[in-house]
Amino acid sequence: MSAPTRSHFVRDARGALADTKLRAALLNIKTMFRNGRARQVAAVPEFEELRDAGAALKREVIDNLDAYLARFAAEAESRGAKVHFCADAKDARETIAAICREQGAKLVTKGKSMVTEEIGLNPYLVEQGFTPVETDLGEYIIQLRDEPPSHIIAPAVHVKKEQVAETFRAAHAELPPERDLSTHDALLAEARAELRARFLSADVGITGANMLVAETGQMVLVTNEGNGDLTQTLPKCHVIVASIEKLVPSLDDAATVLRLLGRSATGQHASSYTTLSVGTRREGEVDGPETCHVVLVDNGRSAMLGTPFEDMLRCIRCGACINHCPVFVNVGGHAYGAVYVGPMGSVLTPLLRGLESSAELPFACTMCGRCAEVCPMEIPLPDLLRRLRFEAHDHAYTSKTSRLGLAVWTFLGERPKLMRLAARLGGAMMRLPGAGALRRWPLAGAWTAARDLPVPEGGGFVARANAKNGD
Amino acid sequence: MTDTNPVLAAIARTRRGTAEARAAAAAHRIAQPPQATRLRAVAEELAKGRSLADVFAEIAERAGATVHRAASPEAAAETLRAIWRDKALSGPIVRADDPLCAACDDLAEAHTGAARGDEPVGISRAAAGIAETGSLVLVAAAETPTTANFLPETHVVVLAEADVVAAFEDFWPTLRARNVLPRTVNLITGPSRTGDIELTLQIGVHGPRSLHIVVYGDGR
Repeated sequence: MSAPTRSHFVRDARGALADTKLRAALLNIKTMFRNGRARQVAAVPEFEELRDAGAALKREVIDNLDAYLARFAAEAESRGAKVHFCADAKDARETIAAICREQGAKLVTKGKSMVTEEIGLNPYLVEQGFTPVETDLGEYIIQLRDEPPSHIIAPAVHVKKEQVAETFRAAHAELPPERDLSTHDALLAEARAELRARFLSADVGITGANMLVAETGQMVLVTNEGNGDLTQTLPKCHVIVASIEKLVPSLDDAATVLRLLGRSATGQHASSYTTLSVGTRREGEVDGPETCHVVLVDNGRSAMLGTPFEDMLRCIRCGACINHCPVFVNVGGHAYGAVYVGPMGSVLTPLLRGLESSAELPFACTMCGRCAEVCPMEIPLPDLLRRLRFEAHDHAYTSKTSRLGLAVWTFLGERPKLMRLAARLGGAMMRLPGAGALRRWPLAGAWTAARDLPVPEGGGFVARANAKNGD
Repeated sequence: MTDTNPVLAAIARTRRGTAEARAAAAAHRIAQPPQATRLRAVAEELAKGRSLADVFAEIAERAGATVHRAASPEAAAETLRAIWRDKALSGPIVRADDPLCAACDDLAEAHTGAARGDEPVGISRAAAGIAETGSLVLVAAAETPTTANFLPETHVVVLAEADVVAAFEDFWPTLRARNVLPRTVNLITGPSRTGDIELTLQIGVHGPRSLHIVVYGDGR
C-alpha cells in the first residue's frame, strides 16, 4: 500500500461516522488504551517529573542535533554498522533497495516501522522485485488487506476479527478451507505458523527504531510480539530505518524515555521486549546479523528546525494523543488520508507532505487540549494546530465561505461599537416570539450543522462585565 | 562529516553557535547525564524491608511471567526439573552454555549455540534483572545466544538474586564497563503478546508463549 498523498478529511470522516463496524472497533481504544494509561500514570506519582525530563532531553537533542547524529554514526560504525544519511523518501527507498540487491535478497521481513510507511518502502521494494513481508500482526493483517495503517501503534485497530478471518482465508489458500477461524486464538496460531516460516527464511530484516543512542550507537526497539527481534536476529543482514529525531544522548536518557513510552502508549509499565542492538555480531557470538545498515531519514524534518514546529520533533510516536482525541476515536485513522493520524498526524502531515494536500487536517480538532495534557514529551499540539490553521487561511487553502465569515467577524471585531450593536440586534431578534435557537448561521453552516446556537439570556458579555464592575 | 553530508549541513544551518560548540555540548551531556527520575515505588518497597528480588518477582509476575524462587544454585537446578515435570515439557532444548542451565540435559536432547527453531524449550541465563519493570537482561554471547530467547515456545531463565538491580541506570555501568559492547541486549518483560486483533490481549505471538524465571539465592 502506498502512502496516501492527499487528505479529504471532511468527506472521509462523514463516511467513517456512518460505518457502524468501524465505530464499534474504535470503542476498544477508550477501554484499553485510555484506561490502561490512566492506571499506569496513577501508579507513578512522579510522572510529571518524568515528562519534564523527557521533554528536556529531546530539546537538548534538537538544539545540538547535528552533533548527536555525528556521534551516533561514529559509534555505530565503530561496531560494524554502515550509516546512510538520506535527504528524502526517494533517497531512502533507493538506498534500502540497493542494500537488498547487494545481499541478493528475495524475501525481506519487516518489523513495524512508521517511517517506512512514510517513505512508501513496501510498494517500491515490490516494484524492484523483492518480497517484503510485514511481521507485526497488525501490519501483517493490513498488508494482506492492502490498506494503510489506521493507528501508529495499533495499525489494524479498524478491523474486526471476522474480517481478519476473511483476510486469512483469502491469503492462506494452501490451508484447509473448512478450518475454524472464529476465535482470536485460532487467528493468532495461524499467523504465528505462517510468519515463523518467513522469519527463518528471510534474507534481509528491516526494522524501525524507537530510539538511537548517541553514546553507544545502539538502537532501541520496543515491541510486544517479539517480531522485531526475530526480524533483526535471524537474517544475515539487518537494516534499521529511523528518522533523524530518534536520537537520545545517553543510555540514561533512554531509560527516561522507556519509563514514559509504554505507560503512555499501551498502558504497560514496560513492553515485553526492549532491545538494544548495534552493528554486526561480535567475534565469538553465534547468532545475529553479519551485515548491518542504519538508514537515517530526514524527509522534511531539518526544514522544521528553527521554526515554531521544531517542538514536533520531540514526538516519540507513543500514540497517546491519538487515543485521547475525541475526533480520532469517532472517525478512526483512514479519514485522515495520511500515514500519521490524530493530533500528532494533523501537525506532522502538513509539515512533511505540504499543507496544500493536508489543509483540512489542522481543522480536524475541537481544541479540547487533551492531547497536550497526555503527551509524554509535552508537545503543545493544539498551539501547533492553531498555527497551521493560520497558515492554511493565509495561503487561502480554506474555503471561500469560511474566509468570508472570518472577514466579517474581523471587520466587526475591529469596531467594538458596531460589534456591540450587532450582538444586541442579534440577541433581540432571537428572543422575538417564534424565533428561538439558531439552527443555521450564515457562513458557519458546518458549525451549526451539528449544533444549535441557543437564545442568549440576559445581556451580552460587555454589558455584564460593566454591570459587575459597577460601571 | 558535516562538510560532505547534506543532511547534517541542512541541520547545521538552522542551529545556534558553532559546530565545535555543539559537539562539545553534546559530548559533555553524554558524559554527564542529569540525575534520573527514578520510580519512588521501588524505593518505598525496599524501605518496607523487601529485597530487590522480591520487588523484581512481583513486577515480573504482573507482566505475565511465572517466577520460581530457589534458595541456592542446587535448589535452582531442582526447580528447573520441577518446571519440566509440572509443565510436561518435551525437548529438544536449546540452552545457555552454563552449568545451571544443564539441569534438564538428562531429560531430553539438549544443545548449546544458536537456536534452530525446532526446540520447544529454551533455557537461558540472565545477566541481570531490573526490579522497576520486572525485566530480565539477556546479553548476546557465545554462551547465551539471542535466538534462544525468541524461537522456543517455553522460555526458562535462570537469574541470581545478586544480579537484580533497582533501575535501568544501575545496569548501564555493567554494560559500559565491557571492552566490547555485545551486539544485542534484550530486556524481556513477560511473554510475547499482542493486542492487534480488536485490542484483545493475546499471549504468544511470535516469541515464547510462556516465560518462567528461576530466581536463586547464594545458599547462605
